[in-house]
Amino acid sequence: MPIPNRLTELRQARGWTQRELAERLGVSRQTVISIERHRFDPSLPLAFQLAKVFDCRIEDVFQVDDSTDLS
Amino acid sequence: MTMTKQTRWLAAAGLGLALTAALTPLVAMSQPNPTATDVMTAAMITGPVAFAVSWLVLVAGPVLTRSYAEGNVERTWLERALAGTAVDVLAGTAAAALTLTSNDIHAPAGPALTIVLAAGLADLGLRYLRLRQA
Repeated sequence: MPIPNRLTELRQARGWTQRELAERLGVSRQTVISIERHRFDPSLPLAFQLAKVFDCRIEDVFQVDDSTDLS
Repeated sequence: MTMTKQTRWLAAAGLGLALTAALTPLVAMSQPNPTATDVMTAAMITGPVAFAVSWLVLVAGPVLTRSYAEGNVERTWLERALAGTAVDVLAGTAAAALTLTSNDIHAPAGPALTIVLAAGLADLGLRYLRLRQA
């Protein structure tokens, strides 16, 4: 089950479209859509890249706590 | 130069048609005196393969080979689809081999392998589309 994230919120706060974010990350727009819809967990390098693009920590993008299902 | 998604799909359709037109006579000529039915059958066999190869090269290829390709969801879909297709092809080939052997049926290798290839590509395409639409 994909890990919950704040991608949509962070992206919209910066006024970026999904295509703009995809270009900043160097991935396809479909990848951004799938992550935002919680259908796809990004790879570790891409998760770090997301944190870098948003200038925050990975924990600020992905919401993992004791109740998160990581199976 | 980067092509838009629509351009890539159009180019893939064109290449698929061209490949089908080029390969169909070659496959049809595997028969001694090819009839119109032979040509139609050859087109039905080569068409899906030609379009699948065109799609892989012109539509999926640019996405799957980007700098961050390993992070793309398309790569994950393709890997999952390929894994499923591998199992299907192995199971299908094993079942066909068992049926042919146990019934002492002799099938020509060329068309049989072409059918396996076409069925495998169709299976891969369907699995990919199903994952994409999930």
